[in-house]
Amino acid sequence: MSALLSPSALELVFALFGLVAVGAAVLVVTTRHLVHAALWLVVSLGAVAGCFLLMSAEFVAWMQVLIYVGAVVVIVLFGFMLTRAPIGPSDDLTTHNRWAALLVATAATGALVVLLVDGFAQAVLDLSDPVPADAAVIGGALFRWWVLPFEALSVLLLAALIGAIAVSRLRRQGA
Amino acid sequence: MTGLWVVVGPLVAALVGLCLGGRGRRWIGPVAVLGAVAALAAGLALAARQPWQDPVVSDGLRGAWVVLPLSTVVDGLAVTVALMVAVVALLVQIYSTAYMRDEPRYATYAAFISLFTAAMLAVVVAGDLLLLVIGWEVMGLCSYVLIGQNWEDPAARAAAVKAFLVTKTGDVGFVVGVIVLIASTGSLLLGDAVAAASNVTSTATVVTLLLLMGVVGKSAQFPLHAWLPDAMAGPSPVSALIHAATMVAAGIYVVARTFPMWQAAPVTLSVMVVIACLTMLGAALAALVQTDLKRVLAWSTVSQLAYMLAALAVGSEQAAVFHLVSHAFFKALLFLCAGAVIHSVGSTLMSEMGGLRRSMPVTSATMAIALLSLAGVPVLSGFFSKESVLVAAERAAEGDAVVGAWAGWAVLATSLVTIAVTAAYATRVWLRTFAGRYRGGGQPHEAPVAMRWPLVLLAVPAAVFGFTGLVASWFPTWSWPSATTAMDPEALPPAPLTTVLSVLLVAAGASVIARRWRSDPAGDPTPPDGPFASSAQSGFGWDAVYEAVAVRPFTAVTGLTSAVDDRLIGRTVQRVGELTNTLGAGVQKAHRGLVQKALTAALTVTVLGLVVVAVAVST
Amino acid sequence: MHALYPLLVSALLFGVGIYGVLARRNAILVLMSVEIMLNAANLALVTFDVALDDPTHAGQSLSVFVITIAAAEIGLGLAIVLLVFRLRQTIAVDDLHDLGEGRSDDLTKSRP
Repeated sequence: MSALLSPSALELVFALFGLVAVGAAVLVVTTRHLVHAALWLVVSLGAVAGCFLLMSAEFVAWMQVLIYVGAVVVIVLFGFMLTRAPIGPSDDLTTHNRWAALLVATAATGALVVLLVDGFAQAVLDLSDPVPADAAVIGGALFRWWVLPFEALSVLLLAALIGAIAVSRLRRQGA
Repeated sequence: MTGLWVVVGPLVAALVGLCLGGRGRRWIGPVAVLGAVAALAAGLALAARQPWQDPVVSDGLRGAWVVLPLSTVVDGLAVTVALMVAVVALLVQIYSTAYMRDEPRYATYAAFISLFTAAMLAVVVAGDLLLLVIGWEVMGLCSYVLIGQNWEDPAARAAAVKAFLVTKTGDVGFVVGVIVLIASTGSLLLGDAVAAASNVTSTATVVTLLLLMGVVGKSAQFPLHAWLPDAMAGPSPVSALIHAATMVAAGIYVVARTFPMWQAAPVTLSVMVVIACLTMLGAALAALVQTDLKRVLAWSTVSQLAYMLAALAVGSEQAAVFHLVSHAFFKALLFLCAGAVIHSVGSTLMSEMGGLRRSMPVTSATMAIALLSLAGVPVLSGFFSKESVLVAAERAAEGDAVVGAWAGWAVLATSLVTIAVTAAYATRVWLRTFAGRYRGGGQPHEAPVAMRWPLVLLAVPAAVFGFTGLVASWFPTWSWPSATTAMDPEALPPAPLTTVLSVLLVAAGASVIARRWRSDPAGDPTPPDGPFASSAQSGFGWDAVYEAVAVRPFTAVTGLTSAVDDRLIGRTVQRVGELTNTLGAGVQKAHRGLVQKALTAALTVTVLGLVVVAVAVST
Repeated sequence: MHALYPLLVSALLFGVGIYGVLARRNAILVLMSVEIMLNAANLALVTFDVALDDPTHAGQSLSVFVITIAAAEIGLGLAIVLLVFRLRQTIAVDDLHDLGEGRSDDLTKSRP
């Protein structure tokens, strides 16, 4: 625990990125502007990508940026547009459930923190001689040990694609 | 040869009759009559084959796998009574072929008469306590069915139910008594059980008191007497067979059959004396003021049965059975004649009869013989049998009986008074029905052939049966487990003092009524006017006692039960349903379909589970 | 670097995501909160992968899969949201309760 109080440079930078990620996430769930929420999401996801980079998980970091920041947030913004999301502040973005939600969230976070601290206080990431897990490494791992899930996932993506088209087709001629 | 042969004939006839139903209308009469003929033939065969001295106790039927406890006792007593039952049953069946010809349910009627005959004969020859109880109960059932033969009539329905319930009240005691007897002696065989019980006074007293309940019920003695007058709602042949000759006499027979046990219980005998005296006189007085012909005969039966009970109480079972057989003949004859009269006139009320001796000569003559026998006019059988009862009472009054001398005096006094009253009402019946001028509106005619011949045939024993009591050896030997007893030669012939007294009383009673009648031939010599007479007509208000003691509490209990079932249990069931609905509505409130609420609940549980597991693992 | 840094960040992100899922009214905002939670999971996966120096890179491979599935999910999820908007003209989560039992109380009256 004392080691935590005297962080190394890496740890300090990581703490900053983490702070940004969490702060932006908090803003996502509390802001009164719908579109701002999407933008804060971008910041949060980007900060998490930075965290990945700091842990020398390069491939995952770029995947995160590409897909999450690139595709997901764009889809979210399209969704806002197509559902006539109001520009500017709106008062009714949070339900009456907020206090129960706060309670549950705090409880969950507390439980997780206690668990993690209790279990992994001594765990260390050895990044002294980092071998970045770049595309070649992850690709090799994927196609060596994780082929079946990979293929299953492509089927899943196909299903999602077809499903999305089917759901959103305009119904004409009683189809 | 086992005594069960007498039972087989009528039983088969009953089963065939019940199966035939309404289909073989031509066969109903012949089948029923044949059943009774078979019983009579078997009875005669039993009488002829057995030496009078040795009783035959047959074991139960033993098959390969099962032993049926159907042992029988065939001795002089059983044979005498069995023959009487068979003769009366046969004549009733022949009579019924004409009387019941137009009835829609003649088939079941004849079958049940046969079944009843079989049950009574089973009681008569029973050597086994179970067979006795079975026969006893089947008789009660048949009586219920036969009284309620015309169940369209509410009076008949009510009478059948009343008869059944009142006799059943007594039968409860009877069955419990049999159970106690079996339990305390450990034997199912009648002879052995009675022998064992008569040695222990306490057992004998308890058993006999319980059995007495059944006798009182079946023989319509006080306090269970009120069913018999109402049972006259049934057809007359039924009354002749069941309520004159057989079922009501079954109790007397059972007491005679188990007499050593009763002799060992003076307490029971004292109770019997009281019951008999009360019933004897009370029923005779009630008979005197009845306006319905059959009701007179019913009350008369109750009174005569009290005679038999009194004879048993003062220690002469032989006199009791003698009177039983003699009474059976003349009372059955009386009922059959009454049936002929009612059939001809179309009414049961004596106010609508009169002058029938011209239009119904045979009936008039036979009924006269029967009434003279009932009254106890000398030389007829009723005279001899009543005299034997008086002789027994006289002997008891001299201290010669198990029960005290007071009993003898009580029976003697009551019997003599009753003789006068009996003569009075017998005279009244004949005068109101057959003498004078016809008061009704119908066309009276003589009874048809099938009804006339049984009357004539019954008149013979009603007149001359009494002579068999004069010579001791003519009367069959009876038997008990411990001793075989020849007839006591002193038991049955009349004694001079009591004979003179009773003849005088008969003459007195008859002449009082005759004089009153002569002054007003069209009127009633003893009308039910005035407080005493009208109370006597309704049986001294005893039905009100039944109502208060039994009916009203029972109805209250059923009302209470029904209310509990309805309000408590029914309401509870309903409330359970309502509760389920309320709970469901409560649970329904958690199911609003709001996703975030559901998720909140799910996540709360998950977090809690996580904490619990973590704590459990770490400890 | 101590593993606790990324792990704590992951735990905090997860809690924020839970709050967002349970408290936000717009359906798309809920979906975004789910994305935050998935990110938290990814961070934890990668942390453990690096901490344990796994030769099969199970953690990072799994997080690639998670990203893929998240993408598929958001696509399909938004298609459904758009359909709902087309039918109900609203995507406020607490106005979409047709699957619920309703708020009527007539079940408390007993049926004949």
